[in-house]
Amino acid sequence: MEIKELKEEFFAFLAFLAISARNCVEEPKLYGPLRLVDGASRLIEILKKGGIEDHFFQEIKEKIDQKKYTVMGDRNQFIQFLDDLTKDFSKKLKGEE
Amino acid sequence: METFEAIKGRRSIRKYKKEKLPRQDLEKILEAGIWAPSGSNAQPWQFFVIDNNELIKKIMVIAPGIFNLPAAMIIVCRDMERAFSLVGELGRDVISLMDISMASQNMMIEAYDLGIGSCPVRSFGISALKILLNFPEHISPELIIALGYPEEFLPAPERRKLDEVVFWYGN
Repeated sequence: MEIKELKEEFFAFLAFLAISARNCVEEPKLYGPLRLVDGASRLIEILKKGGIEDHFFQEIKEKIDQKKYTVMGDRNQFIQFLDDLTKDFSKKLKGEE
Repeated sequence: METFEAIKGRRSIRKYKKEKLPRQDLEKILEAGIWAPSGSNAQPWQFFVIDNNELIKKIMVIAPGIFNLPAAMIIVCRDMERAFSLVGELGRDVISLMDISMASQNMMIEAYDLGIGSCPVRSFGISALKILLNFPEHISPELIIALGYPEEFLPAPERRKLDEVVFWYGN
């Protein structure tokens, strides 16, 4: 990916963060966690486009993209998904996965 | 399609096929919008239709609530001057929101009837969108309805039961 394209991707990502920050002032409390994990998914996508591909990152992204919508329908399921996500990182940190 | 079938069948669709939407279908959806009821018949709405991919992508940059590229968007706005001049403060501050909500539901039901998925999105930067699209001060964007042929169709979240939310008075 060219630097120009990478800059455009990061511009969109930074705008996403800024608008999300503003909107989180009034939006439902759980939309904050939603934006954070969705941001993680978007960042993984940018890294992939920039040539930084990683199996673990990709698994995390797939899990986020699959489960993030539960925030709209099932609060407990969404929180469980966030818990699972933190465990994934912890296991990776310990070298279990 | 039966009305009730459309009401129950509509889902918020967040992943769309790339296929563009026919202009006549978009017009029919918008027509459904303008037939919504409104307080004092003020019709305080304005609809901005975006079906250009480049502009849709720009709007997505400032709309964290849109996760995937839709084929089109309807930006549902309130005309605050019109609402105030015809219905006063109550119209401007409260009723116009109800009016555009009813128009939005009409449009999403009509879209469903046409086989088009929709998702109402409020998670966007209101000020940012006004600047991007050069909206005048009195035009207030309230909702983006993302549209497209459904790529995925998720099951309906549970509804609260009738006996939990309905209270009958009378016989």
